[in-house]
Amino acid sequence: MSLLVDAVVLARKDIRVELRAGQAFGSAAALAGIALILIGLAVGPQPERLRSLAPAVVWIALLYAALAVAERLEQIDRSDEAFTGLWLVLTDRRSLFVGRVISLSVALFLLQLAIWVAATILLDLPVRPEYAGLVLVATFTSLAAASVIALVSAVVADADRRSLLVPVALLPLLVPTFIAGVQASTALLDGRSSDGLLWTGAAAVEAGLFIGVGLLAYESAARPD
Amino acid sequence: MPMKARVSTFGLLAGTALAITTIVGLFVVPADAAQGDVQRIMYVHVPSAWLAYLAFLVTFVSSVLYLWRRELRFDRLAIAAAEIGLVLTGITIVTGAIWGKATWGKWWDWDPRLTTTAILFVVYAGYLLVRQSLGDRYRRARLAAVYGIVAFVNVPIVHFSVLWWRGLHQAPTVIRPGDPSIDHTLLFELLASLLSFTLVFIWALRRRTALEAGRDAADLTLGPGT
Repeated sequence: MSLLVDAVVLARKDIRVELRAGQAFGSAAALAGIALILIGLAVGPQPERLRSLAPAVVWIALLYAALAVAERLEQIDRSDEAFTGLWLVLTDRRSLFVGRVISLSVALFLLQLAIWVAATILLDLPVRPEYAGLVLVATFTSLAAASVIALVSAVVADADRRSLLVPVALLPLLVPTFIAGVQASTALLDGRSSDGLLWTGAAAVEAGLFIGVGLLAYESAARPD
Repeated sequence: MPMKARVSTFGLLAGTALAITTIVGLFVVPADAAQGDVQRIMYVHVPSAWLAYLAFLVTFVSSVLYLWRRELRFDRLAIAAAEIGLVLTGITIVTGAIWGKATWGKWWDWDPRLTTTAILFVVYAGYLLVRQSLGDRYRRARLAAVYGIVAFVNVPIVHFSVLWWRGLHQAPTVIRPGDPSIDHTLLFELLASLLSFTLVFIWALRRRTALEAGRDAADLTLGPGT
């Protein structure tokens, strides 16, 4: 019980810091917007092609935005020995992981929805009732991605060449979530609800798996020296 | 004192087995009726792919054991297996590309199996990079173990990708429900190749683990980085 209570307090701390400073979400959203525009420019004025590429475009934009969010949240925790303080105070340190997963999930969920809205306008996507399923896709993929990001960010927190290492270490590990997200949203955009549900289920399984691994391994990954 | 290059009996056995299966695969076993001689590359491609999976499994299990027992011998096994797995994944990709050029007419295709195998290569390259970027020996072992566990989640996805999505890569021909869809002579040579590759894999794993143990011993007596 204390684990969840502490985790919610920590997540609220992350969200409150973000609401006051607005740096992580703002820079991530800007990065996602730039990615969206660049890919649109690269493909050119071909509406059909852009529409078929939309799920991949959205997810590539989201992955880069996720890197920015992860980097910022980790910086806040590691500055001024704040993380060491939290480490010493908490009785169950897994709450650090769960708290980070909650705050990252909220950020990624909102980012994903914002990117979808932008993509719908910029790529001229037809609005269908199946779009509602994207909320479910965003929920589970955000949870899965947040778990991997929280864990890997802790692993590389004090590494040399950290800024270079984060994308190299993180992006390949986000591929399962990327695949599930792209496949689920492609199916939903094509009106194939049952396929969309199947891939959403895959994202849910991934989320469960990564959260389980995180709960078992986070303490080993995050322990300050 | 100069180090003597010593080949163990096991190494000799593994090398001989590899030489025999190579000769049999190239000159004794008949060519595939449909694909011709290019199919012979499968005697390298398939064992490399399977053993790469095994290597990454060894890294995963050793990583779990390291976090549980905190003994450096498990970390040495994890790094040795990851390096060998990375080399085997590289061989899988290169031999697959050569076979693909002869059969599909192109070196590369964005087929799910090919793509995810390439991603697997990048994941374990990332594992080695993470290790290199961490200074203290025990800290490196601990953090690499966590990364090694998360990385392994990708391995089953690579294997099952062929079943989940339709692509150019053929479905499993040996491990599948019912009889293997491969001629029995060719299957025998494939399994013999797998055995000889496995022997070489075990030999390389032992050698690489011993090298890492020597490095640890040198660090302990002479200081890190010597």
